[in-house]
This record gives sequence, structure tokens and C-alpha cells, in this order.
Amino acid sequence: MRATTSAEIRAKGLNRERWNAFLRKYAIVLIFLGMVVLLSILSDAFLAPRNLVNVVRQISVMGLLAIGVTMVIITTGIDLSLGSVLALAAVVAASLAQRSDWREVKYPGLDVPLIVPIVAALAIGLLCGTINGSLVAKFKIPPFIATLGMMTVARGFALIYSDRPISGLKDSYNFIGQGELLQIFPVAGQRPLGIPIPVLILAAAAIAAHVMLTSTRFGRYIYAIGGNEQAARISGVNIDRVKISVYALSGLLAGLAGLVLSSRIGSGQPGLAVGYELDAIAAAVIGGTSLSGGIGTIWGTIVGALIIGVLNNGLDLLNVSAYWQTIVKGSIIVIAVIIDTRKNR
Amino acid sequence: MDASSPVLSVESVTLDFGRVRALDEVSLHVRPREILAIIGPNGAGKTSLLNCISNFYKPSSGRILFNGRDLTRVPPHRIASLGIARTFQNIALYTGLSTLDNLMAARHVHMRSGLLECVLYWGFAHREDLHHRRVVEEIIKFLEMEPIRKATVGALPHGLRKRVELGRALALEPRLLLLDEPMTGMNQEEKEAMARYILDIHEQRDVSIVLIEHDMGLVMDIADRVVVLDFGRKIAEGPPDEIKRNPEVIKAYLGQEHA
Repeated sequence: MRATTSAEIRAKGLNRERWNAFLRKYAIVLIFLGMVVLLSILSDAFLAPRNLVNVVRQISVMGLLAIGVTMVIITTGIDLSLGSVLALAAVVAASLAQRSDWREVKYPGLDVPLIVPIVAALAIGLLCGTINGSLVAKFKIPPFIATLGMMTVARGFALIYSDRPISGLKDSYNFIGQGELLQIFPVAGQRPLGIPIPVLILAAAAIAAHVMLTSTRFGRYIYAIGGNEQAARISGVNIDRVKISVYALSGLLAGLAGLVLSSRIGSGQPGLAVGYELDAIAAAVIGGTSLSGGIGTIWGTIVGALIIGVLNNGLDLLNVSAYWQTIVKGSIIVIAVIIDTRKNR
Repeated sequence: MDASSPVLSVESVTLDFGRVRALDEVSLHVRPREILAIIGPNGAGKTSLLNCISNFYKPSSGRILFNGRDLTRVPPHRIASLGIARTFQNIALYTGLSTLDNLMAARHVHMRSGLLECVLYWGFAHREDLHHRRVVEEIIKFLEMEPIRKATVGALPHGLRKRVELGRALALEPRLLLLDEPMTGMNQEEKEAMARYILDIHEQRDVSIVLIEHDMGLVMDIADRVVVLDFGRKIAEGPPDEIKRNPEVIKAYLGQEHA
């Protein structure tokens, strides 16, 4: 909050221009902080440390998808297949992580180290993403159609692989989604609070993606393609390779998200995460990523995901019915885009 | 062929779009440091030819040699590093970025330092960036763009955007510069300014220029040689004075009955 006031003072004295630029850049953060303040007034439970940790834990899966889709959207693409790819990765990973003493085992007698399901989930995500990217880059299929196809196909494969939930997963696997590190934050009358591993995974992915976008050549290429594909091409950017890599990364993150979600709920289900890609796209758009490409940041997307998470959590705490929640969420997404298009005029 | 070996040789290039023949056995040469103008009525295949040279289109047959290298076998993103830059009829720039950043973006292709080098060897990345910045600043001065250095390109008037695009092309330090109608939509004053920049580039830089332009007066003034296309075929080639008198050219431009 101190940064805000000092910027304000400088702006008053010197130029309004700078203040406006500041607002344009950080409006979304201010909206988020406003929501937090409002909810902490309206609900006693909201600010409790355990609740806040819960909010972040709940957005970790959507956040992973949102990071990938942000990069895709910056290249003027879209990825609708994320939820389905997540589910496919989840069922396959879960089937490789079942306890041998479980009553319904997919592969009887199979007992492989933890690394196998992890690698399998990531590989499936990477493969699906690479196919998406190749369809878009090499076969010139519009991203909407290519990934819509993958959305249906991956869901189909997930159902063929297992039409029922795969449960009875090993504790070591479930630790990925349920475990906490650094249980050092004391909470009165309860076990100390730690940082959930999904949150750490999300943070690591966000930092890696942020650094990649802002300070590597590959990141510059991503923005260049979104800014103007012709200009990027004539400046020597290998458009096809960058596009395929971006979709592949997006798929990889969906595989990772499948790992996190299935281990959090302790079961791999073919019907997981239906429509999650839309929440992820919403997070990216609320966070200032432009669907016309070239514009977007990872931190903006994370704030966008936090806004959705806080909204879900807050409306739950305030006992708003689930039906009304969807209406509120939808409206906020549209309002965010209206604000975004107005400020860019 | 002349004694001085050509920088660019287009050898009987044919380009088909389905059943439409956009280019029909077109051959031409670009000599070192010359300005070659390509003229012709609308739909004659001028831009198609430029797109073949810059590898946006793949010719159905024929070869395009640049310093002895067949461009039809080079992947599109390698064109820039070979030393070919171009501008577009309908301007391709990053409209959200400033003039300076647009030019710097073109340089980034040459920037070797990725993330790792930045972390491990900061000094190198920094020096590299400084070098690019110097090249870009020199171009900004050359094209008299100092007043718009920080301006967002999307907010600039058409004439200035054309100039920024020329700057972006120059930032690649090309050996061959392809200009697709650099003066369309400009008023007389802006056209003359652009012509002056093109002549300055011609004079001060070691670069060959291929120019597509509709304004005959200007083309005849600045081009060393002119190639005339009509319905995808080359109908004439020569110095401006010859072209002006060529009956084939007059026929193509004015129609049969005037010939």
C-alpha cells in the first residue's frame, strides 16, 4: 500500500500520465486487494491462515493450466484441450500408482517407483501439446479447432483407459497433492500450518514461466509472434518451432496439473476437470492477457487466478448458492474484459 | 550476364495458386548496390515475386539464388540471417511497442545471449545489448526518427509508420532490401522524403534494393533498372528511359487500343 501512496504523490506533483500508467498496469492488483479487504470485513473466517492457504491450494491446478494457456494466448492461439489432457494424464498416472493391496487394481502385481507415474503424466501432456502445436503450426489449423479436437479425443482416451475412478493410490503419490512442507507456522489449538506442495509446484512453474517470458530469447519470440507474426517471421523467428513449443509446454503443464489434482483427491478419474480450461482462460484474461495476442504476463494471470479463487471461497463463506456463484463469476469475467478493452483504447 | 556477378538471381520462377498462374517463368537479376524497380499493373505478380524471394511462398518451379544459395531450400526464418530484409505493403509492426523497441526487436534475432548467458556471464549480454542499441540509434538518426523514438507505433500516422518499418528492415543490416510499395498512401512531401531515404541508403550502405512502386515518376527517378511484369510474365527489363518508350509496356499500362 505504501508504494501506491508514494506513486500517487509523485503523480500529483509531476504528471497524471504516470499515475494513469501505474493504474493501467496494476488495476488488477488493486481490484484483488479490494476484494480481500471487502471479504475480510464481511466474513470472520476469511482471513484465517488456514482458509487463505486453502484458497491458494484450490487455485493451484487451475493456475498451472492458466500459465500454459497464457503463453498460448500471447501467440494469438487458444488451448481448449487442457481439462481433457489433464484427465487423461491423471488416469494413466493413477493407474501406475495404485497400491497392490487395493481391491480393484488396473495392473495386478505392478509396483513401480513414484517416478514412473510422474514421468507418464508429464509425457502424456507433452505429447498431446506437441500434437496440438503441430496441427496449428504445420497444418495451419485454427487453434480453436485443433485444440477442440484434442479436447474431445483426449477425453475419449481417458474414458477408454478407465471408465471408472482409479483409487487406492500409494501414500507417496498422494503426498504430491496432499502434503505440506515447512510445517512451521503455528496456529492456535491446531497442528502447525505448512505450505501445500501444490502451491510450491505452482509457484515454481510461475517463476520459471515468468523468467522464460521476460528474459529469454524464446520469451521474446513468443511476444513477437503475438505482436505481429509477419514482422516476427521477417525478423528471423522460426514461427513453427516456437508455436509447437508453446503448445507443448501448455500440454506439459496440463499433465503436471493432472498429477497434482489426482493426487490431491487420491484418485484418477476420466471425468476430471471438465471445463477447467475455461477457468484457466478466464484467469489469464482477467489478469490482462489480450486474446488478440502479444500482451500478457504470468504475474497478471496468477492474480487473475487468485481473484477467481478468492471469489469462489468468499461466496462459499457468505453462503451464496452455487447457482448464483456461477452468475457472479461470469459477470466479473465480462466486466474485466470490458475494463481491459477500455483502458487499451 | 554482366561481369559483376548478381547478388540475387531469380531463375524461371513459376508460382501457381491452384489453377491461377501468378508468376510464369520469371527471371531477373539484381546486381550489387543497385536499385531495381519492379512495376506492373495490379495483379501482375509483383508482390508474389517478393513473397517468393523472402520465402513466404514456395515457387512451383524455378530457383532463386542469393549469393549462390538457393533460397527455395532455405527455411523461412533463416532468410533474415542470410541478409534479406523487407517491408510490407500493409505495414507489419508491433503496434503496441515504441519505435525504438520495434527496431530493437529486429536486432534480438542476432542476440545470442539467452537466459543462461545473462545469469552466468552478465558482462557479455550487457555489451551485446549496447552494441545493438548503438546500431539502432544510428538508424533512428539516419531516418530522422529522433522525435518519435519513444512514441507508440500504433499511434503514429501512416507515413511515419512506413518509415519505422523501413528502419526495422535496416536494423537487420541487410545485403538485400525488399520494399513493397514503400510510398503508398503518402502525400507528395512524404513520398519525396521516402525517396530521399531510399537514395541515401543506396548511397551510404552496401545494399541492393528491390522496389515495388506505383508512382511512375518516382520510380523512373530513383531506379537504376526497371523490370515490368504483366499477368505474371516479365514483359520488359532495362534502364528507366528505355522502359518509358517500350511499346509493350505502354500497351500493358494503357490498354491495347492506345498502342
